Amino acid sequence: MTLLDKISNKKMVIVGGSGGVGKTTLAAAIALKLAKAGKKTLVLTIDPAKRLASTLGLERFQPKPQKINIDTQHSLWAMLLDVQHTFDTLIRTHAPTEEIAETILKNKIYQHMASAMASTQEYIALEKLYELHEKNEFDAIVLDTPPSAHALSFIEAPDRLANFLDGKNMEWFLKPYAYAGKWGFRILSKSSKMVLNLLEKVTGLKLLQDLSEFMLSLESFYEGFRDRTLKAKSILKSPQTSFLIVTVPEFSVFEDTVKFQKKLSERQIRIDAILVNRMTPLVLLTDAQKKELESLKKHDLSGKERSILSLFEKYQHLAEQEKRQMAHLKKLMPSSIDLFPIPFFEKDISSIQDLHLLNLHLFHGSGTLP
Amino acid sequence: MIHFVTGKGGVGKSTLSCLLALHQARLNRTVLLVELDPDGPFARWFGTKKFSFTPQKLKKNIYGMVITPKLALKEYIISQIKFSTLYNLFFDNRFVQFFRDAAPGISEISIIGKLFYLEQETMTGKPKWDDIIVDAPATGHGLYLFKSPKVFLDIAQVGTISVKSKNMYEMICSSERSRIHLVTLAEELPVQETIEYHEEIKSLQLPKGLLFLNKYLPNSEFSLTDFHQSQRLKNSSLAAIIEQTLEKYEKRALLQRPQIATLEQKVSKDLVKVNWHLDQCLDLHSLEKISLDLQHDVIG
Repeated sequence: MTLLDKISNKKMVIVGGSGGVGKTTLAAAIALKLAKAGKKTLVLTIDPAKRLASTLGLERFQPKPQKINIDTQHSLWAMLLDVQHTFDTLIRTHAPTEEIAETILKNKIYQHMASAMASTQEYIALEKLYELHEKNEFDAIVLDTPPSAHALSFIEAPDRLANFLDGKNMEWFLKPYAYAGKWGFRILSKSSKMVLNLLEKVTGLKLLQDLSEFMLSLESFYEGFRDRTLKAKSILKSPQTSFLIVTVPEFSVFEDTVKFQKKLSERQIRIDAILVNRMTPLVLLTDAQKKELESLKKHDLSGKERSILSLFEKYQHLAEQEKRQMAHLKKLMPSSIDLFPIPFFEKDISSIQDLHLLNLHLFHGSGTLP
Repeated sequence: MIHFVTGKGGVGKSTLSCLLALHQARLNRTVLLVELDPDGPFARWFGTKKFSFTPQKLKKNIYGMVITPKLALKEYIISQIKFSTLYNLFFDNRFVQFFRDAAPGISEISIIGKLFYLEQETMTGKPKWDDIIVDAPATGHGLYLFKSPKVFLDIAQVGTISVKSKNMYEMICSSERSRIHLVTLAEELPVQETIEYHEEIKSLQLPKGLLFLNKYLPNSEFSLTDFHQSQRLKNSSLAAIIEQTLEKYEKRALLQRPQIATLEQKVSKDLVKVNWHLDQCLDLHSLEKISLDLQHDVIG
């Protein structure tokens, strides 16, 4: 099965993986391929390098879909994920009154949440994907997941945030704080008072009051929020979604990939393919050729000749290491997951044309070991 | 001195942190190598048991530990309330979990707080650690780490946390006490991200450290012409595949040149180049060898 077969009838393609493996570029390339296959396609990206915008012929990305100029028959769109803006809108939409929305938007804790809390990005990415999916303006949406050291944070972060927004965890604790000024802690049990006193000592009263004010104002729409989070998360398991992992042939990144796949499968999220980016593009020597190399080395060679052979051997060794690691990864994965090797691209990708060239590799072959 | 080693994902932050540690240890300085990821690679590289929250000796002059927000926060709270039984009674489990998720930046500030504590540690009147080397998160999340003292200063305004945040903020902004080293590859996207990050560091007035260029491919000591002139290599049945390999190497090395020029122009002329030995299996032996290449006086 080619990669295109796997994704062509999906409505959403999520491109995940550790940081620095080439997710953003591959997401753009995949979106281009889907557009060329006749689908109105959107690529949704977060914090992209400015260069990706120029590759797509845009001056800059904007937090709304912009049409990419590929040709007259096909339709490709790109959009930047604006975390703060999406979060604000979410609060405005779900707050029962405008007043409550304003209280939250002005709260210091809230203001730092979107910019200072790493997990918000991941949550918002999923939220936006859900919203765009609901609007149904595109045949296919490709999501480039936020950059993080570990691929795992993409699936764990939304849970953490949902957990946080689920009032049960703090109710008994923080609620009294908002009223502390008025009534003190009289309404509390002895042990709760002790805990609060300790906490105040550790953090300071102001911080706790701000926090509880924030939590209290959120309380009025926990239900709506929770519901929404669950729906957004359901995208991950939807049969209309294709989940792809990008990796590179390096030991530590492969390790992360294996863990990621396990966690996904624990959550019943199915991976369609693993894209192994930046493979050293070399033909490996046969055993006969290896013998030939050994006998060549036995000759009386000049210094330069030795250097040439030494570099050659190192490069061969690198390609062999990668091949072994690939085989190992393949063995650790369920047989339903195909590996698609993509050779190191000996050129910077700076235009739509380059993305097409990349796609020749990406969508070539049926996902077996090289 | 605290050395934060950061850069785009996948550029080799852990590798450079380790090389830096080996380099400083050779100068007879006591080094603490800190990782923030409990599954990080250091223990494997040094062939020791998994890192814990307490420093363990890795080799002469080098110690290693892992800092997780959870343990750092726990230590802090216990130090404030004095009784760990109270902590276990009230704070362990869901409350600390919740607090960690609820207050933005709390994970990050817990880490900085622990680093602050380590920096202040003394032994026989001198700082216990000459260099604390932190394998910091990738660029995006790395900034959260550096911004967190300011965020907390802003949120807390008054109270215990506010005072402590101020101390941490001072530590992180002082070039006498902290440095932010950037690691990059000579490829377009990492270079662009490095330039943008460098600007951010400048605008936040954080102390700039070194710029490391990982996986540098130096010009080879020979050219394709040398290959063509060698009758023995040219007549071998391997000629075609050798030639193809040399071409690929040259192409890849050549691709690095304009990127290096851009870095030198926009970030730093003092690029610390770390040669790529075309090897991916890092072990202590190969790391030691590469660390000898680091000629720069890193403390500077």
